[in-house]
Amino acid sequence: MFTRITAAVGIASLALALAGAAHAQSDFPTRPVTLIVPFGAGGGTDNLVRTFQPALQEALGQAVVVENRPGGGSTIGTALVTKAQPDGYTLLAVDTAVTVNPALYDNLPYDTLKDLTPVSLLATGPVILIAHPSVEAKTMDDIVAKAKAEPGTLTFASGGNGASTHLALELMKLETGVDVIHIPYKGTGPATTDLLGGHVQYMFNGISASRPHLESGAIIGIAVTGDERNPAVPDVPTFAELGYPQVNPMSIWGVWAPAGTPDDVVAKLSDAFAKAINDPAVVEKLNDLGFFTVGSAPGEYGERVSSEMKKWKNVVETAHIVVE
Amino acid sequence: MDLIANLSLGFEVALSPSNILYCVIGVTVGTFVGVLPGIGPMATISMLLPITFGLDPIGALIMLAGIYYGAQFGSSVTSILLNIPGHAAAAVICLDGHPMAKQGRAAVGLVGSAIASFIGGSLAIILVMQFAPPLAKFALRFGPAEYFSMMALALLAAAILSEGELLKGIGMVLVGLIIGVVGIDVNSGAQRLSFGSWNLADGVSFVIVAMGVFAVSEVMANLEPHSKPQMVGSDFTWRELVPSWRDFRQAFGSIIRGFGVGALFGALPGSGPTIASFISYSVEKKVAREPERFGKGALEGVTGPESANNAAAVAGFIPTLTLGVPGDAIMALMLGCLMIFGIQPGPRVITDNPELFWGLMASMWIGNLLLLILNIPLIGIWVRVLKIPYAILYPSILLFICIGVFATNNNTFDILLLAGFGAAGYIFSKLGCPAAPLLLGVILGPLIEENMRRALLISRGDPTVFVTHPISLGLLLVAAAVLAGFFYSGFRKRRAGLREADTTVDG
Repeated sequence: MFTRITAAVGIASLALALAGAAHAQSDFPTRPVTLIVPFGAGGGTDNLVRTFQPALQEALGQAVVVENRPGGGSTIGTALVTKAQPDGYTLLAVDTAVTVNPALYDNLPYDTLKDLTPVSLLATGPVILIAHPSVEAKTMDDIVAKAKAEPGTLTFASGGNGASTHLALELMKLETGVDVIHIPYKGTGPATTDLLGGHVQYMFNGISASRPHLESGAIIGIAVTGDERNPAVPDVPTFAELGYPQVNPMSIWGVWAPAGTPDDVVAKLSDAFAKAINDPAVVEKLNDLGFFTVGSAPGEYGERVSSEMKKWKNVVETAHIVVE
Repeated sequence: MDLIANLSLGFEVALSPSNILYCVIGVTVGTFVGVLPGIGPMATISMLLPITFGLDPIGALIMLAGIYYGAQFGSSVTSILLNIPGHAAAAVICLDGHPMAKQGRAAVGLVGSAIASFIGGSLAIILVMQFAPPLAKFALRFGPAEYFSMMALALLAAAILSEGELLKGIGMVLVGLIIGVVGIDVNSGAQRLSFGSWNLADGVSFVIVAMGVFAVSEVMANLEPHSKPQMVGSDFTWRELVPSWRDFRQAFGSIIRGFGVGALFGALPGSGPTIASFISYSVEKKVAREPERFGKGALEGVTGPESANNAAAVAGFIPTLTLGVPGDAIMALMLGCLMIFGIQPGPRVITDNPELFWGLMASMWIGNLLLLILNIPLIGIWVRVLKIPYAILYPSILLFICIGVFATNNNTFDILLLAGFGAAGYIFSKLGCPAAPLLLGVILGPLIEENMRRALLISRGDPTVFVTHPISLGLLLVAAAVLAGFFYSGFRKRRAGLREADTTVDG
């Protein structure tokens, strides 16, 4: 039943696409645009997209349909977009996973840079190293000293093997040469719970998820990534300030189109996304959620992704992270 | 007193015309998605989430919460009438609810479940209002070692759950554990039993397993040429709705115990209504004077789990609102919704947004009352559902199940998986293998494994961690006692059986 409906819709949209191909570019978009979020509703990427969705509809002059296609660490939704018509009507909004997955998995059902074309870097987000107040080592120097004196004793929670919170830890291990225990969880939610309970000692996490606990004193902040202190947590120093400038993992969010999407359509989309994400009301809301809004040109996003991919490939290979 | 002031603030918020409307919409939608097999609160809330962004935060939360606990309310209707659970948490209601319907006591079961839901939910609301912060603190003391011991205890309960041959029950638990293993291993990142398919990389959802082995297999069983005739219960009088004194006495204790179980499992992040209802069933069977009545239409087997799953649904808001950490996937959705509204979920929600917390609590109580008022008259209609010819009823049910399973992840593969589990469930029932232990294995297996490995990782491989933590030790001792009691009663039964066999030659 469903496959038949999907097939019918597919054929209909194919027909539309073919009919429209000749003159679609100039008056793009003429029908609703689908933005695929390869994660569940209510997650970070979903929250980001839903926040600027109204502004994007206004900028494009067309309805924008957000579709959650979760699963396989974003690979299922991403694969869908790689197979979509390259007409600009099916797009992908994704987080750091898109830069990390090629290093983590050797059986990805697509080649990220060949099958997708970048549209815009939407936002970046710093990561914060937090700790349970009961820990002895409360500064970066103390942590490094303690981890070197007693290797394999400090415990660091993460949102899962290969998750951005795990890779931040691996980057720290790599840059400081320390040996600590990694405790993976199914998502940062349960990891935060165990950190609050003092069952694990440290954790890299997003700023917005950590802020209320920092304010209540249930956890302490050690350091944030980013070039300058974060307005949401002004008391927490940056890694660079503390003498660890190499420990600088950032989460990034961006939009992709299927490879082969006409350049002028990509340019038009990129402009619309930049306009939507930099809408003052949107910026204010997103800053509160811990995002730094960007809205870059396609090329800039592509370069950023290429350099991030190299960085994470190095981290994943050195740390021997296995996710088959 | 503070509580009075807080309550009056709460009711002021909840009784505003628009919020009452959201509450009514929420619980009505909740009841229907609860009754419709397969379409659970998860699918509904993820579908409706975008719509709520146009509302004010408190209204949106009242509505979503109404869907959530409303769905627990309605979910037992089809379990009782058709042996098809409305969603996973109600699977266990089938065990005794449906036999009740077969005996023509469908109305008693439905009324019992509605009242149990109401009492369980209402008590849980009082609990959350009075004790949410201390309860949240208590929940935080549950680390990996404590979770392991608790889930081990729960898995033991699965053995008690099993009907019929013990060996088959254990076998089904093991099959469940294997299914639970599918997907990316949290600790090593390796994919297990996923056969290289990305669709299996996140594991098999217990919702699909529950719908397959309980619901689809039941539909298949009705396709048999000699399948059972159209069900009893069509002749229905309103007088049946009044529970007898005997029914009441039987059910009351189970409702209170169910509330206790539900409150505990709901307050602990990571467990939730489904586990609570299964554990409650085991508890009822364990404390019953005549446990052999279970599986044959024992009212406590319906009221206990019903009270538990409603209490757990309400208590699930404790970690969500007081700590800002979601207890399950649905709570994660609601947290996401709050964040879009710019409300920072966390320890300060109660102090910073008192109208949100107290308004929600007051609305939940109003919602529970509305549900009771809504559900009792509906029972007459539900019972008449049985008059619908099976040729129309079952295909519709199958369609709803497919919609529900598809809508959760928007993935057609899940429907194929559902069909597979449906076929497997049919074969299991033909072989006399009970499905409930299988489902519990699927749910608990990953939790046990994950927490055991995590506890050992933190203790650096020292297994004494499970007995040096007091809560963990206590839970393991209870588990040992349950196991000892089980073997003792089995031993006694066997001896009694032997004696009986001696006297009655025919057996």
